[in-house]
Amino acid sequence: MAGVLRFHTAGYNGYAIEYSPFFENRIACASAANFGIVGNGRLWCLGINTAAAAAAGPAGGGGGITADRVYDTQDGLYDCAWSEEHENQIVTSSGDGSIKLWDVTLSDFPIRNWSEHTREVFSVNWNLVNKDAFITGSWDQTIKLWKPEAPQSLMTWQEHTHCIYQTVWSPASGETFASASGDQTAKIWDVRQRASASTIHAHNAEVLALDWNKYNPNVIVTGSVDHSIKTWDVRFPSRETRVLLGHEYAVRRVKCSPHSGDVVVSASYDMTMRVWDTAAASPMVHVHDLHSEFVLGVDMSMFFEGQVATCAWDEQVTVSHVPALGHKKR
Amino acid sequence: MSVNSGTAASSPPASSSLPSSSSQTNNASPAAADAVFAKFAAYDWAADQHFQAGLRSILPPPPPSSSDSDATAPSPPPAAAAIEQAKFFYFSKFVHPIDKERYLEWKASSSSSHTSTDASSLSTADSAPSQVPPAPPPPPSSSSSAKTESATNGDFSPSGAAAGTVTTTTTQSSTNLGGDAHYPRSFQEICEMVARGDEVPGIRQIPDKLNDAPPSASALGPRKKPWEKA
Repeated sequence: MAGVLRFHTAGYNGYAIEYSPFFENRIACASAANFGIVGNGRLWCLGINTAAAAAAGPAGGGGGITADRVYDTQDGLYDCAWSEEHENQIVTSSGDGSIKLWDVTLSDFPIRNWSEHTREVFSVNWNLVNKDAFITGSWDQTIKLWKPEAPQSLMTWQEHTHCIYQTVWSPASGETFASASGDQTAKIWDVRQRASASTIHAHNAEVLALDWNKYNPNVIVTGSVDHSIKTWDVRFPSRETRVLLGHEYAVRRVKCSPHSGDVVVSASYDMTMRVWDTAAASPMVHVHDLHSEFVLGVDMSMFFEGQVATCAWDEQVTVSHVPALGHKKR
Repeated sequence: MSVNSGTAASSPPASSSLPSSSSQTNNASPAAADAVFAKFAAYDWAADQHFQAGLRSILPPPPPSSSDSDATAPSPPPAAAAIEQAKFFYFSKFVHPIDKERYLEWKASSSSSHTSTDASSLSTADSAPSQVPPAPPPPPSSSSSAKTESATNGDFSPSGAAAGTVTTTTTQSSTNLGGDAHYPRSFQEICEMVARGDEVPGIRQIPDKLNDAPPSASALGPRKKPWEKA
């Protein structure tokens, strides 16, 4: 794939972007009108047409990404997560506290709707191991566990003392997840326990983002309003293992590469997405400056090493090949 | 391909750029900060219908969340603390980002010369911050993002506002967006409309219903993750 593919999420500001775990050319973008302040949300199911992309040549441009399906919601959508057990299903989280499950073979309306959270739900994440469950994290300071067929949440955790911005399952354990909060901490949880397993005072500012290393089950990465990204060994929560500096404003999202234990990508209010090699002396290996507003979503293809998708408040989705993402083998 | 300007540097900033960028957001234009503080001090809360309506919605039954207990812990009556919290949240969200701690410092140290003179130059200070790189769009300010996010703890969020991200255009006049007809309204415009209680056009009513059609059956097994193949 050459060049940069773009898609205009017209009228909607991107908040999250996620590759399908089943179809290599399918991505979803959760978005909100009016910057998420007021108004509708939209879930975009996008197809990446690599043939059209190749025909367009290195300049990239139109035709490479098509909207296969769009779903409109009353309130802004802040996150989405594809089902790990059903190739056609995806769950969204919304500013009105609702969680909706969609079947992308159907039009217009969700197949499930849950309304338990009392504030904005900024995070939803599907369990990578026990593939019948997902978790949500909300500004109501709670984390909830859900199963698609269950009419109510199965569990609620309340321990954070500020908005929860992200909740992410461990790729290695179906019982373990982590959460990032405005209370400046990240917490590690076991679904069988009511209290968190550990608390990391991760930053002296709000922690907006978090992910698990896919190749080292004890390592997490956090991103913060303090501009920094930190890597942690969760067994030693008192001190980070590395600080990654370079973003000029708050770090809104971090993700660990599905292909390498050393590669991390981050999206920031500084309008860039950056690629980091946490094992390198100079860790910042790429700056992706394809956006003209806050970059809120980033994801890496599991099927095409080096392919990365971003979404931003400039109403642009980009899909591009970043060599720095692929150069590193575990 | 890239239209970034100003702070969205494509070259890796040295570590020294961190202090400079934070000084830019925190300290760079003290005059502007003073103007914001003065504006807050002089803000006519009683006349702001939207604020009053929002306040009524959170008082007298205090919000049930934990910030309620935060409010009751200190010595001032819970209502006063909640109102103060709401003011900072509201001001940050709809007028200008403001740091409560620094405001209190400013208020404690400010002489009478501050308020009157700065208050008169508010509007220009707002739209022409000296150190903000040229827009469009304007650079975000993480320090002000932080304020907005922190302020969300005040349980005063009229409309499911965006997380903390939303301060980008607060220092920018909407005319900066003029080049592209398809560019959406600025963040500030939207905030102002919400604050005034204006109806933001274009919001559609989406029926709150489930799909009548039966969901599809799954036909594919899970694909192995790259880390599961190793």
